[in-house]
Amino acid sequence: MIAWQRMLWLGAPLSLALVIALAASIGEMQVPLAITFKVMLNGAGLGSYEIDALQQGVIRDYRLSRAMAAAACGAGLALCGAVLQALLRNALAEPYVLGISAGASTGAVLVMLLGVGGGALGLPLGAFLGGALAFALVLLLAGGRAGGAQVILAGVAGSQLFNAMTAWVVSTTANAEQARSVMFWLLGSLGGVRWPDVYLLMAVVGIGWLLFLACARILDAFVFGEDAAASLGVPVVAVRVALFSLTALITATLVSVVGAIGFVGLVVPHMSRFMVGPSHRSLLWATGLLGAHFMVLADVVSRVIVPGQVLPIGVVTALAGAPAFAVILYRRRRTV
Amino acid sequence: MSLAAHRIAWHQDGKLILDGISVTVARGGVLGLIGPNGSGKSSLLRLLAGLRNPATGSITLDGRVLGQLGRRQFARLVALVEQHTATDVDIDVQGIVELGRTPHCSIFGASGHEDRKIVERALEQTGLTAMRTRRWHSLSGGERQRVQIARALAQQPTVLLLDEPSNHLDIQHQLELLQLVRTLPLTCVMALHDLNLAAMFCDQLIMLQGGRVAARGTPEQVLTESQILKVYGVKANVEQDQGHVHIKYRL
Repeated sequence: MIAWQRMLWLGAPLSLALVIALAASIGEMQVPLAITFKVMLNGAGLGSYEIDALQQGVIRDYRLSRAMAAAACGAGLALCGAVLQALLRNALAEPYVLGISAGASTGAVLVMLLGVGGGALGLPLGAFLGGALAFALVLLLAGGRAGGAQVILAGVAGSQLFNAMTAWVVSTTANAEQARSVMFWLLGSLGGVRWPDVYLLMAVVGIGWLLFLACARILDAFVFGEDAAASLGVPVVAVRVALFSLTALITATLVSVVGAIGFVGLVVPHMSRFMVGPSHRSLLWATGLLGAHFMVLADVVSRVIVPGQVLPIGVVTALAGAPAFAVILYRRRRTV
Repeated sequence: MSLAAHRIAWHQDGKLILDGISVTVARGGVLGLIGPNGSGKSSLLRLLAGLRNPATGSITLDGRVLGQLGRRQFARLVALVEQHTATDVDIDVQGIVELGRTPHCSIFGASGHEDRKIVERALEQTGLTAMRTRRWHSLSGGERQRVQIARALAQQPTVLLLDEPSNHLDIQHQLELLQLVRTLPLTCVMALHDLNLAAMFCDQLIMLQGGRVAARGTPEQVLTESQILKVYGVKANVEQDQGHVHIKYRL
């Protein structure tokens, strides 16, 4: 391994901690970075510093939880994107583009506003069922020919359908106040995140990350398609079902907490491939870490770009992601 | 180690592609599959590679039915080089050859010393050692075929299946590639279009027509004037030339 790559591996977790601290320091009430670090060390049980109660409260209960949630979402969405791109052999595949996020939103809204499932169905489970249904529908529509543009077109159709259903439910059942808050959440919002949410996100993304890493070699084997993977001894159907379900589960959990955030799963894997190459044994590490950085920084941008106002984070990621989508599309047109 | 198909039939989109074919691939040597377009050569190879299940009949490896053997176990014994391989991924030659170790590695297992040695040998055997860092999209058609053969060799199979390995190559590269296949210490089954190349490089031939076996045996036995006329509808003179059958077509 080249020396600078080794530096990168050592430095990436440290720089993530730094970025999270930075994100927790920035806000209407500026807090010095040193104090943020002390709060973080206190929280991790590695220190017992005396800190102003107000500062400690703001950082621990609002900003750190928010930054940690952003990191978990960024890592989770980016990993889902990397895995979907490998399995579908499509550079444009990611949860948002394939309509999984839209389906999860519909599921979550049905549970939230209509009380579907009568309380037995929690928000995350409703989102999972919606996301899985949307994904299954999109794959069905793509007709097994997942390699080409077909699956992206199917994703567009699926997204439209489920977004329309969400809009229908919201506009017919919610009052004005509810509608406003639901629409804001749908665009991606880290505002309401509390520590229990953070633990849920970190657990789901962490376990998902480990399972994806366990499949790194298998994902590599898909590079020349499903038949090539099968002739390398990969149980293709079982792997597809398992990994598709896992991506739907991760996406749905993220959507149920922070809403549908697009393009992270598209941009980050491509940046990571550029940095560490296509082998999933290193790519999945890089993608998760880079995705976490990306989302924490996107959240900072969403809070500071318009003074006195917080943009939905989905707006920021889309502003960064849509041009990247266009570039990839353009380059593919050249090679095909 | 013997791979065999027992009276296999296979349909695609309601059309019968293979109609009760039996094949036994004996240990060692090169078996050529020949026949006109659509006669079932590629389909037979894909079934022998376990990528599709026969509608009736069975594929066995050393007497064991494919389904019982397990994919991974099978991939350690039988490798396939397909006719068309494509990817968008910016992967290099060594990365592709390393894929051949997939069926031998455990889930979390890093590539061990032994794996690296096997990959090195596969690169050496195919003359790709100096090209290990070249990217897939920068390779010519012949180089891509060689890389796929190197990947298949890294699988350390006992049977190598090749679908039209010399397609789209100029004559020099065709001869080089088939010479390489010929010298590998493996049992090879390959589909070929060119009857003269099939006669030069194969020990045994199976001629397919409409999903059935039209003839089988040595090149001398299969490639006769009457057989070529019957299966391809082409008039030809068959001569013996330096121990090989040589075919000249007539209009």
